[in-house]
Amino acid sequence: MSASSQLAAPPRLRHRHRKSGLFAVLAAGSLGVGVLVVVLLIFATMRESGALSSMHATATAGLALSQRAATNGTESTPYVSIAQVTPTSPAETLGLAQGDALLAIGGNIVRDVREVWATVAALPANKSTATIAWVPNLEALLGELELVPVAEQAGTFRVRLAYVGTETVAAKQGLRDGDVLLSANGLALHGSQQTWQAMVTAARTNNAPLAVVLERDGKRKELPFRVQREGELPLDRNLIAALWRFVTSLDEPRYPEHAGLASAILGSLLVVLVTILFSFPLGIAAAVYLEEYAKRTRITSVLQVLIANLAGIPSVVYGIIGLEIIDRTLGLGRSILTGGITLGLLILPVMILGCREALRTVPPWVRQAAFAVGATPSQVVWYQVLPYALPGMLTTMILAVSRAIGEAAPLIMLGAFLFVTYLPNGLMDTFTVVPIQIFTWATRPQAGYETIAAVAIVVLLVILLVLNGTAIVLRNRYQLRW
Amino acid sequence: MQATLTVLPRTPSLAAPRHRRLFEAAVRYTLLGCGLIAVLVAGLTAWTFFAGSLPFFEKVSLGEFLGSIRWAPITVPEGYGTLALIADTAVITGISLLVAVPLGVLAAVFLSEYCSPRLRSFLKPVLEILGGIPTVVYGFFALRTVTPWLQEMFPSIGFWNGLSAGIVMGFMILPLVASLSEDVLYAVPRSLREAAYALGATRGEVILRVVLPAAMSGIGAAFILALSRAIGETMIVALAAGRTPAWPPDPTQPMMTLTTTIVNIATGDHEATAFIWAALFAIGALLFVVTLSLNIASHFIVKRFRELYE
Amino acid sequence: MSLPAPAPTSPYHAEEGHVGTAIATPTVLATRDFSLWYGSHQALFDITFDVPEHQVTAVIGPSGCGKSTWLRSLNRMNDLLGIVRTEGSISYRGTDIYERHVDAVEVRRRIGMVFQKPNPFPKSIRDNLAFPLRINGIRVGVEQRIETALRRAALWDEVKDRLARSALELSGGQQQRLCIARALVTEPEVLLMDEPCSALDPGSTARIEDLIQELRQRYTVVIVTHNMQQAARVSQHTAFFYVGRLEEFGPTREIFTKPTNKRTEDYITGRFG
Ligand SMILES: Nc1ncnc2c1ncn2[C@@H]1O[C@H](COP(=O)(O)OP(=O)(O)OP(=O)(O)O)[C@@H](O)[C@H]1O
Ligand SMILES: [Mg+2]
Repeated sequence: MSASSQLAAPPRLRHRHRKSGLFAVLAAGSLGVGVLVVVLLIFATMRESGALSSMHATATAGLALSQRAATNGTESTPYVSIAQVTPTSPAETLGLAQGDALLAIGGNIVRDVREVWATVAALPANKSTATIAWVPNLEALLGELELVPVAEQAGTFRVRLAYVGTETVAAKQGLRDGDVLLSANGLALHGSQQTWQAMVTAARTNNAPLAVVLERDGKRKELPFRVQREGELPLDRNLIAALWRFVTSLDEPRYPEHAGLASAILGSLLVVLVTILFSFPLGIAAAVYLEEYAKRTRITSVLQVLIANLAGIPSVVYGIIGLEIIDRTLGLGRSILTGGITLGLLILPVMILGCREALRTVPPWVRQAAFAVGATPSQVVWYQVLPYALPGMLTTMILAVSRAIGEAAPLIMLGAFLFVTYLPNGLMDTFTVVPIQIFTWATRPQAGYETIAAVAIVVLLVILLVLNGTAIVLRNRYQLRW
Repeated sequence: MQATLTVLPRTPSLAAPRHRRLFEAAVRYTLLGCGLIAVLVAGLTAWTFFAGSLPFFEKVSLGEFLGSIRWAPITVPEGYGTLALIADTAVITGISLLVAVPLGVLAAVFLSEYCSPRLRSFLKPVLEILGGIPTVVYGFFALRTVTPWLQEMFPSIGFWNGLSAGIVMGFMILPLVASLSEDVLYAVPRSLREAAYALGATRGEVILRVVLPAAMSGIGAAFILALSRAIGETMIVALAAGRTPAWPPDPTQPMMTLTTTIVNIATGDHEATAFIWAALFAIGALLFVVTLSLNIASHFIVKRFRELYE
Repeated sequence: MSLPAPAPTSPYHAEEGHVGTAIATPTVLATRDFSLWYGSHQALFDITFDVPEHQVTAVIGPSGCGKSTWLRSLNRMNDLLGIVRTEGSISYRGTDIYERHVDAVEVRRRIGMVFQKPNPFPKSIRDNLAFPLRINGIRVGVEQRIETALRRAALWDEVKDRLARSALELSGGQQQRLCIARALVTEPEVLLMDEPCSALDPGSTARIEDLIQELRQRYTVVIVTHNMQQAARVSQHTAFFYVGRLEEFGPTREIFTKPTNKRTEDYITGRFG
């Protein structure tokens, strides 16, 4: 028997090795799942946020859309209503007005608001305009109406054109005052709102004029009536422009396509500024005292344990402190100042811990050498210890700031500024921050808010990625250097 | 050739010049003051909860608070039992730990035992960055992505449900568990492993029979810390789990945790003098005491673990 | 292993004039009945002797006998440990440096120190020397002082072209000379050296020994060493410490040729240690 075959694994050992390999795969798989699931969720959010440019397109064209449903007693069909038209916008120039119903974009029928944005997104990339079809609102379509009871059916009404004027669609297509509308494309017409909605529903099924049956001078008469209008609407789908408008506009509680992150971004900036001003000096000073000045006693070690574990208290608990002590007892109100100090309290233990850690990386001989040439304690700290510990402290500071930027729970406690539609102009103003804006948008029912919540998340994640990435690079380089 | 220099002027006495003494003292006491503020904050926190929840426990017995399932602070008659809230918290926490602990510990095993140093130096920051994602973002994931997925698989699941919140919370805590466990595994001495290898154990056996048992108490500490984190998590549950206490707890339906209750009270439109604020402090105190004790327990377990191997 | 109880010491007292040559020069540092405790552990017992001016005093003794402890007591570096208690006195030019009103910082500015391991600041060579000047409030003639100190430490020619480079790029011997220069740049009166050559190669050691000889012209040098030959080569006076006590002190030549103490003799002839 050769030596090599003597050392080959016997079957039993091979089996054990295979089990060992399986375990390795399991371990690697766990890490993979842990990372991939979150990455997948982030991608799902990024996809969700993709609708922003379409929303931007309809918004800059001058439209604010809302979801309505047409009911004819038994069934309800959703349609897209034009809730607002911006003055002097392309949409107004085209003749769109509030209350119109949007039928189709680029020949594709749209039934709900999400479909509008999906359709706009699906337009060929090189197209900067789209043909849109719509039905003018009731008044523009039919003028003034009056209801006439149906003799044989109590409680049912038909509509009679009371005043069509000269500008309405009806007048232009030969309808006259006094005509009573009976049906359109075979759909019976009752009541004024229902009549209009039935026409919208009928117009959506094909692009031809409706076959309207009416009673004129006691006689039934069928008339082709084209209710839909068409026009080319410019649509700006530039993502950069969309993002810029998003981060520079204020929140809008009804129309997500017009809502923006400006007040939240400014709020976050100001809050974090207060947080930094509050917790950095305190945290660094406390760490320097504990590490460089205080004698190692029982008290300092108890403090050490306390501080380390305060860092793990739920953030919502700090919200209660902020609410009770800073807002009510100190009387600072639900202001940016209160929010910043609350977050400052939250990250103070983290700051102290991290800075102590950084100070501990300074080798004792640096201090010894400095003392030996006659430096005073403060000179040792200022000229030798702090410069040495700076990268580590910076890492801590950046991580602390990014934690503060992402915190929502303690600030929600301070009053959940659900509708902040102004820019804060001072530290005593009420405010919102990006995470809270995400929270409120994510919980609003109207279609489109989840999209801008997703966009806000992407913005937030990019900022945090840059911050945390910097911190990690800084730390790794500094670990290499020393 | 040596340059000549005037001898430095020296004060004749060895006493520190007055200005320097004053300056050093000022620096020292300023730093001390800052340290004391940090301590004061800790003390104030404890005091706030103690003083704030006193009026509550004057009216509601501890037995009712912890033992009754009826949480109805604004209906008449009022009910201040948190048992249902605690149960809901426990269920969601349990789900999240079911996700986070096995995956996190195994991930740590991979990082510390199998991974090449280069891959490790890439993966650790990735985990760290994932751990730095704000919880409100995880809440959005749960509400807008995971719940719809779950609803596709099990149509009976509600729009708000504890399951989705728990699962996503698990993935949020995973980096924490992984990094703490990895530190612990890393601290298990080489000599232990080498002894096992010398006896002819395979790699998997060394890890399962030697390294993991040796690291057990440290991993336990990581578990406790994860538990504390899950109990205190707010935004995920506030977004995805709903705001109705469920009894008996059913994770497919809306649930209300202790933290959501706090948010609910604070965002509700209550008079500043309303009794419900006392309830807020009582629940806050409960959370504070529980999480602080868990953290300190974990701290000492880790400390003992380190002393064992150093 | 328990050590034999120390014999009754006969410490050398300058006043008593035991060894005539040793008191030819005035005293810079006078240690009197000096005892020191680390917490409850007593490391020095009733040390009494004088360090003469412009001479090199070597301190020898087996490991752990308190040489470094005594040396660090001379410029109050032991204060930094926070656990040290002392009795007796150490007088610098007549002032007890352990008196209440005395500032350790002032003491250290007059009594420089070089450590066993070269410990330059992790900064440029120039910054290493500028720092002591800056904390002493010296703003004029900085460049000139730096050059002088580097020349006195016999390092100038090697580093004059790279003053802005990191001090950590220097060799161990160069780093140690930089540390000597750093101690000299503020013109202290006494230079304490704790085994300054123990981390160095023979070439660097020889350079530093030469240097010490030159420094004696301007400074008083106290050097702790484990190397008997080194003590014999560089010093004029030698103190022998044993388990926290001063066993013998006298002119180096006499200590090495006719030690009065049995233990000293055993030590310098290599019978233990
Ligand atoms: N920082 C300290 N804390 C407590 N005890 C100490 C400390 N430094 C020294 N000692 C103790 O004081 C005694 C004298 O130590 P010292 O360092 O002065 O010896 P040494 O003569 O310099 O020895 P070596 O030749 O090895 O440097 C020793 O018993 C030592 O254990
Ligand atoms: Mg020594």
